[in-house]
Order: sequence, then structure tokens, then C-alpha cells
Amino acid sequence: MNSFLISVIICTYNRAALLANLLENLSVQSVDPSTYEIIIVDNNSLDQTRNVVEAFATSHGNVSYGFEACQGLSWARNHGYRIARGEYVAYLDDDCKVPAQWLAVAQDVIERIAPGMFGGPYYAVYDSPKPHWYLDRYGSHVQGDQARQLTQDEYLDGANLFIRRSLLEALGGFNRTLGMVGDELGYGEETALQQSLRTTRQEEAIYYEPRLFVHHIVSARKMTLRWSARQVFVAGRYWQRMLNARGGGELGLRHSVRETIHTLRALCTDIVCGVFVRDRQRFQYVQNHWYEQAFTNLRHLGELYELFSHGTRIYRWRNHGNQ
Amino acid sequence: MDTARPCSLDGPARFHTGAVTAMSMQRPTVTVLMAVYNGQRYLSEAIESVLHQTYDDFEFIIVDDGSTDASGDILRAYAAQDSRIALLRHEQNIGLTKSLNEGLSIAQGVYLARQDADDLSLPGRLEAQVTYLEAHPAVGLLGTAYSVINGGGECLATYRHPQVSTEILWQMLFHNAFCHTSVMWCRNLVEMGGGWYDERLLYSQDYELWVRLMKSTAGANLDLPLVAWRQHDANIDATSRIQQQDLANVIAWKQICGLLKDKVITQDQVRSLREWYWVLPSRLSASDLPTCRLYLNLLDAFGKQSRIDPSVLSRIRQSWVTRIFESVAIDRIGHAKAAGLIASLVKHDRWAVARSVSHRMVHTFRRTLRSQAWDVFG
Repeated sequence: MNSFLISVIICTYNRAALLANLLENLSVQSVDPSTYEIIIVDNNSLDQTRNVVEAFATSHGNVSYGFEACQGLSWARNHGYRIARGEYVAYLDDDCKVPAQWLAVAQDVIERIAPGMFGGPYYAVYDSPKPHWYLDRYGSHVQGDQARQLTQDEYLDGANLFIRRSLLEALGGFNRTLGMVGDELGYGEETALQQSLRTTRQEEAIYYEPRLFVHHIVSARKMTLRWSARQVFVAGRYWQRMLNARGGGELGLRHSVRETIHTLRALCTDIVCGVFVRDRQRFQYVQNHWYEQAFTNLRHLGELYELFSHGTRIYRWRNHGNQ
Repeated sequence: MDTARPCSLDGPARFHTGAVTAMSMQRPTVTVLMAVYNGQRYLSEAIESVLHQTYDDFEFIIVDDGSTDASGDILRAYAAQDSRIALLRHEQNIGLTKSLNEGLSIAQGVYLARQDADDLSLPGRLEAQVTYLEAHPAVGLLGTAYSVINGGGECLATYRHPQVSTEILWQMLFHNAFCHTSVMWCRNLVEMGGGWYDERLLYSQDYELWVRLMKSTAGANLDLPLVAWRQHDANIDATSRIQQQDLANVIAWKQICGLLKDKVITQDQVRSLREWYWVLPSRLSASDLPTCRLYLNLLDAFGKQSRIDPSVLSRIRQSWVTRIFESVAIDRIGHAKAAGLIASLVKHDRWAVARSVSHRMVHTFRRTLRSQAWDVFG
């Protein structure tokens, strides 16, 4: 059993065509192919995923296929690191494109600094026409153009994330209640992981390297206000769920109702303001104003929803029913 | 045949040997300038997009920067067909900046237009730009909006830069406000001495040149997307992204230092200024306040320059005061350090502050107060 420096783990669900592109992309990395392996974790896909991987594996070495029957990104990610053999595992989203020097930069970071966890930015690219109002930064995750250690309230994104495998094992992998499940959205598993790393292992650095960038394909589905609204709401929910998991407070019924009414009122005000009195230099289209200003209220509503349902019996009952 | 040949006045194409060749024709109105390095894949499309312009009084200077693929053959074939094309070629790859300067040195047109070897010009581009420049003699540097297309030519997105000179000047303090492939500028600016690309710069050479040109002329951007920038695997892969940002950072830093003569500005501060130009962090820490103050200092110094349109300036000021106020005031309105900054925000534009208080802050304040009440009583 040989070992590698990096195991690239791609968790995928019903995206065989994108996956095929990404694998082509990954096969032309500038580093020596014997230093890394590629693991594709198929999370119950119903399409051609398996065939795509098998076809790719016949022409390229160091490719393995894992199948995770439990639906959920966290399950798939945990499956991935358990079958990985590399010193570091690299989590990459299946809708990314990687530049040829991606792993070379990662190796350089490992050799120079060897942080417990590190990652880079992703930039939006499009494979379908982009609506006018949708800005590149909405689909990108960039934390500056300087390599540095992140501060306490900054988090790397899970689309382009490297972790030392022994560390991930020690932390117990990703939290399964916080990740995406099938077509359902979910965010927070990687944030929770970084928080637990920060609280339990203060000596380990979380490092950001801008040269370690990938491109992230923003699909037409995501470039709608409707999707963005849902995304913001769900992000708020998962943030609160993470706080709850760490033992956050509960909110009384009266307070939550009052807070909800206030937030809804602010949401309406913001939506109307966006149409009539927005700063047109900063928000060229009304959608920009809604996306950047009004939707902060949706996030808050998501938090309230989670906070409220966390403290009530209905929620607990429903959650048990699901298990 | 790969070697450069001396120019033949009667032949269809003019070749260049290094010395400036005598022109056999009258001076054209526009010079279109292109440099190619191993760009065979999209080269024909790019050349044809220029040759099929609705405006035809132009010369087309193409510098073959030591290509080793079929680019040379494609160029020679087009040069043989169309007498407006002038070819320069060198055996070694000397880089985009030097190649462009070499092309500039033989350009004859009144207006100079850039065109990249993988991008497209829409048919009306030259006509629209020449018409605009002739109607606005004060404007010497003109860009356009641009579309982004993929390898197959499908349009993915349209981007617009600020359109009026004052807004462009403000953005140019932090970021380039022109799409390189879309720019047309007046040649008399080159003749005045400042119009060459800085050959020390591998990237961002265009940003640096526009900064210099904008000192002696006004700039503008047309609202119509008249060029198409191609996004393909080679330029998406660009390993140069960070180097490019570093160079742009130095260019911005020099300008900002020039504008704020009595202040010491570090490159890191400029990095934050540039990063926050698009979106300020939603929560600022105490160490971020000096950077916010820098924006206000810059606004003051910027407004004292000549050629600034006061109405546009007040719009920019209002926008920045609001943005900074919203970011600063969310948590720390009572903070001693922030109080100074907020006071100067009020001094800059008290109505903007008042408006943002009435719009957003009431709700936020209430929420903060309520959450603190829970901490105390709950």
C-alpha cells in the first residue's frame, strides 16, 4: 500500500457531465502524478457517474471510486477521508475547474508551512448566460490576495479545502447534521469543523493561500433571486444550528414572534427602498440592492426559524421522526 | 518563410525590419494594434472581426511575438489578402508590453485602438468610437462595455465600467476602469511623450498607461458592449493572477501616495483599500478604522483636483459616507475611536449619514438594544 502526499476527494451527486470535465482537468496537473490520488465518492447518484469514473480510471492511475449510500455531503466527505491514503486530503467540489498548477501550489504550501488546514479562493465562471445583475463576487469566495493565517471569525470554504488527514481523523470528520443532503441545501459542516479545530487545537493554523485558486461554475439555476433567497435563509438556519449544537440559548415565544415581525417589516422596507431610493452607484440594479441589503433580513429570519424550532417540541419530534 | 523581409512598397503587405518604414499610403484615421503569441486557435476570428468593421479607414498593425505555432502562417495569409494589414515579426518572444510599443512606434493613425488576438470586436466598434471621439474633443481615452464569450463564441455575461470621467478617475485610484481590448485613444497623447507602455511591467501595463494618459486627457466608456472578451482554458488558467494583482497594487499605491502627499501609506493599506472598493466588510474592527479614514482623506484630496465634476463628486462622496457609516456604526456607535470617524463622516456629508440612520440603523439599533436587554434580564 503506497501513500501519497495529497488525496483529492471529490464528492458528487448526479453531475456526471461536470465530473467528467473536472477529471480531465485534474489529469493535467503539473506535479508528478505519483504524488497524489483522486478519490471520487459517489453519493447515491442515479446517473452515469460510476461509468464516468471507471472510464477515467482505465486510462489514469491512482483513481479510486467510493460509494456512499447514506445521502448527505458530510457522509460522503467522511467516507472519502476514510479510504484516502494521502498525508493531506483535499476536498474539491464537483462543479469546479482547477488550474494546472493547483496541486503544485498546495505541495509548496505543505513543504513550507505544513498547516493543519489550508485552502484558497474560488472565482465564479459561467457556462450559461449570466443575468445582468448577478455580480462575479456573488459566486466567488475570495479572502484577499495575500497569503496569511485566517483570523478567528474567517472561514475557509469547503469547495477548495485541504486538511491533514490525521487531524481530520482526530476531529472525528464532518458533522453529519450540518451538511447538504441530496438536493437539499446545507452549509455549516466545514465551518463547524474549523471552529472545533480552533477551540480544541489552538496550535494548528488555518492558512489561506490566494495562489491556490480554483474556478467554480455558477449554474443558471443559482443565478436567480429565488435561489439566492433560499440560500441566504438556509445559511442563516445552519449558522444558528451550529450555534445551537454548541449550546446556544433558547428564545422565548414572545421574543421570537416580536423579532420575526420586526425582521419582516425591515425586509419589506428594504425591498421598497431598493426600488425607489437605492444608491445607484453602488447597486446598479434593484436586484443588487435586494441581494446585498434586503437578504440580510432573510438570513436573520433563517436564524430565528432555527432558534425557534430548536426550542419547541414539534421540532424535536419531527427530527426524531426523520431518523 | 519566417524571417522578416524588408518592406516592399508595391506589395500588398508591408513588412518591418526594425527601422520605421516609409508609408506608401495616406495616413489612416485609426490604427488597430494587435500582438499575437501562439494564438492560432482564435486568431482568424479576431482578425476578421476587425477586417469586417463598418468603418474601414484604418490600418491594422499585427505584431507576431515569436509565435511557434501556425499563427505566423495565418497572419501572412491575411496580410496577403488585405492591404490594410501591416505585419511585424520577431523570432524571440519578447512579451506583450514590448511588442505593443513596437507596434505603436510605426502607428500612423490619428486614433489608436487595441485588439487582443483571442477577442472580438463587434462590427460597429470602430465607427462608434471614432464618432464619439470626434464629437467630444476633450475625451482622449475611450473604452466600451464588454461581453464575455466562451470558446464557442456564446455570450456569457456583459460588464460595464463607469462611464463619466470623474467616476473613472475615482475608480482608477484603486482599479483599472477600462477593458484593455476595447480601448481607443488619441495618438497625439503618444506624441506628447507619455504614451508608451511601461516596459518594466509584465502585466497591468494597460492600467499604468491609462493612469498616465488620464493626467492629460479625459476618459469615457461607452455603454454598449462593442467588444467580446474570450474566456478560454488558457486565460482562465492564468498563473499570473496574483502577480497581476501585485503590480496593480503598486500602481494604485503610487497614485494614492501622489494624491496624499503628506501621509505615509503602506502597501498593505492600499491592498485593503482596493479590496474594499467593491464591498466593505460588514463589520469593521478598530484596526480597520484608519483605512476607512483613508477613503475620506482620499475623497478630500481627489475633490481638490482640477477637472472634477462637482455633482459626480458629491454622488461619490454620499455613496462612500453611507457605506462607511453602515459598516462602522453597526456595533460601535459609542466606541471612542469610531466616534472620531463618525464625526468626520458627518462633516463630509451629514445628509447621507442622516438618511442611513433613518433607513437602516433604527432597526439595527433596536435589535442590538433588545439583544443586550436579553443578556441582562434573560
